[in-house]
Amino acid sequence: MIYLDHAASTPPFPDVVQHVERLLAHPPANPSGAHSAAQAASGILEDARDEVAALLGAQPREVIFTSGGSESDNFALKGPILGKAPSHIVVTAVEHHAVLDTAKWLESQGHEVSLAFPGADGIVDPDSVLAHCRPDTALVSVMLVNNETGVIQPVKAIASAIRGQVPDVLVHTDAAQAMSALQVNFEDLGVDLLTLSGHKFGGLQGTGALLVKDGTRLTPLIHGGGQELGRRAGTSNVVGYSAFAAALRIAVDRREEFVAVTELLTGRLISQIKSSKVDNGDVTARVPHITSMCFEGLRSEDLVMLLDREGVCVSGGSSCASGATEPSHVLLAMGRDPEVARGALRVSVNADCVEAEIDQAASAIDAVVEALRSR
Amino acid sequence: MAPRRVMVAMSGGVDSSVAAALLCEKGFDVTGVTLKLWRSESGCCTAADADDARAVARRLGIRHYVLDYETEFREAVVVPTIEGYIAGETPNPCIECNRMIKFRLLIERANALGCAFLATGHHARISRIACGGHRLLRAVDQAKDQSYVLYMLGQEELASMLFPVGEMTKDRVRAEAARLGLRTAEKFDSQDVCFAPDSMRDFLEREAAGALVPGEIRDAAGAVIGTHDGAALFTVGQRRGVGAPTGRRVYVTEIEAGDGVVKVGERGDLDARSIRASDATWVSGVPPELGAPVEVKARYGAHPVSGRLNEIGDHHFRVDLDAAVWAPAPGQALVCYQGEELLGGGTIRSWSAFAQPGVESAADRVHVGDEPVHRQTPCSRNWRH
Repeated sequence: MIYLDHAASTPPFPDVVQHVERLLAHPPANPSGAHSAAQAASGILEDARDEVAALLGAQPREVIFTSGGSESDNFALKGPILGKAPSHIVVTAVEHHAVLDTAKWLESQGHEVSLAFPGADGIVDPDSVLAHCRPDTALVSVMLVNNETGVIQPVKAIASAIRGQVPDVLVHTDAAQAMSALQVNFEDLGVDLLTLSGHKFGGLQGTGALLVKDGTRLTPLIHGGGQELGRRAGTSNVVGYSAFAAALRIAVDRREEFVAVTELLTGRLISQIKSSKVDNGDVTARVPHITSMCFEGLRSEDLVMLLDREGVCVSGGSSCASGATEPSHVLLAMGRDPEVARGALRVSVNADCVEAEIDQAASAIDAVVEALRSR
Repeated sequence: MAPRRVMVAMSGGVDSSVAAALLCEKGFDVTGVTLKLWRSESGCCTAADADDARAVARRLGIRHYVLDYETEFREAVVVPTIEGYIAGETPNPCIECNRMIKFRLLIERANALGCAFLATGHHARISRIACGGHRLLRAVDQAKDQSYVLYMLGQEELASMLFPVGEMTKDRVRAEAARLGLRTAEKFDSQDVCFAPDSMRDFLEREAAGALVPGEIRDAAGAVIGTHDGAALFTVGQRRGVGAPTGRRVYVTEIEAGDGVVKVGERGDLDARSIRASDATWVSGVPPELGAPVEVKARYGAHPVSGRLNEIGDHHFRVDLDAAVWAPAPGQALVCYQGEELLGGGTIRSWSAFAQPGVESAADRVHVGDEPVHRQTPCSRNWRH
């Protein structure tokens, strides 16, 4: 099987697996307890927090561990607003559903939501975000790397432009897809809230974090035992968070190699596909391991299904809980014709993919496209 | 020879789960698909049923995919259903879904993906005739027979379809699912319209609020006996919401969408002895002979009533009945059987309390467009639309 869906989930690093095995050989106690076993667990947890903070230019108290990217996004959008008077938020039209659907829900609760659109290249211009900002705007959310196209958004420029105009606004960025390929520094980026997801960079599924700028007030989504500095109750997933930190350390250490290898692999794939296609998004302003293309006249689901039969795992757009492929809201927001958008294919690699797999995948894509187009 | 490929439409229920299992045991190369037709309010997609289907597929060792037909389903099924109710009819969305989505788009899709057959978990049987044609038969389990919702199938569709559980009783299907350890073994039969899980009334109040205009409830004599919130919320034979002040039991007999009047009457006022249907399709591709004896069903759960096909046009037919069919609702399907065999069906347009005198010759009627207009119509005022 050739697995080229690393943007959906990438396997944990072998070192992380070993780390988890070591931890599970002596399962940690509940870190909230008072005794020495609890203190040992709490030590592992806090070491993880320190590590994540150090790797991302944040303070340990700014790192809140969560169950993953969706929870972090929900917390980032709802936390500052829940229980407050109706307020205004701005999100881009190409955000992950965890942001978009949360914004939609907030709208149904009486808050106002504005959508900022990207250009045809998938890049959201700072001015198009600014144009929606008002004196009463409470929060702006712009993702760092788009999960479908891999396009990198100018988050730093957007954050600084907004601050000039609306001093009290909170800026959130969903950086779930960014960690393998981009150097991310919380302080330097100038955002207040930053979403991370463990299984996108070699950690475990079900682990994530939200970086919260010191002093930012958030209403918790989960009440209870006061864990995670009172921001998120529930017994901490000590093993998962420790693995998260270990994976982040490896991802940061190997970032240069990752970028170099995946750039070659993605370039090789694109140059080898002979079928006529349309590339989605600016190919110069994207992370090297995610690429998206449309095959006009075809449907993603058919491509994915037949490629799967050939042993190649790719995705149509982003993956949804049921496995359905919807016409991508990202491509539609970029102004793609809906009929073209229906034939989208996302290929995402990691540094362990090899050239032979890429060559095989490219010829499988050509064969499947040819077969479907000739019917 | 490589095994033949089959696509199985898996709803996440027990019947389609077992259908997939049986095909695997017979050595087919099976791919499961679940159609995503409707988006629930709570989330990205209705995932629970697709999860069940995927769990079953995993257990069987077959691949499973979710196919998105949301746009097509809305256009071809949901919108016409709303329009039908607004026009005073009682549409059957499951039949439209079969006609427009499953047995048209999905069969095409299956063929395009290299599958020789599309299989579903419907309780019905296909019998292959020696000369090459196909007949559609009721299920072995008469109580679970679903052939009614399949009447639109023709020769072309049947040639590439399989109903693996049609030969089994529901109890055997469940036992088989349990034997295979499928998680759907104990799952309830779904009774809901998938896009109106609460009730059709709630759905219409949400989706067609603008078309709901309050109006009068009148009795058979034309006297106003009450008011209602919208004629679209009623269906022929309904009792709820039309209670007369006298306390007598009354039933909706007719819905006049144009002026928003809901007519009510006694139970006996709804006994039909002759029913007309439009948009007729015949499984064999050719209509039966005029005067052919048939048994008809005017509702999914109804008992068949015998009668004769006394009028057959290019796209319509009329059945005169030997006994009364109660409350046939315009918009529902009228399906004709001969014994075990399903001959075809159409959409109920109107009915009469009187059986017609006999086979009508072409000279007795003139056509305006597709619809016949009666030249001599002694009972025409008794036809209810």
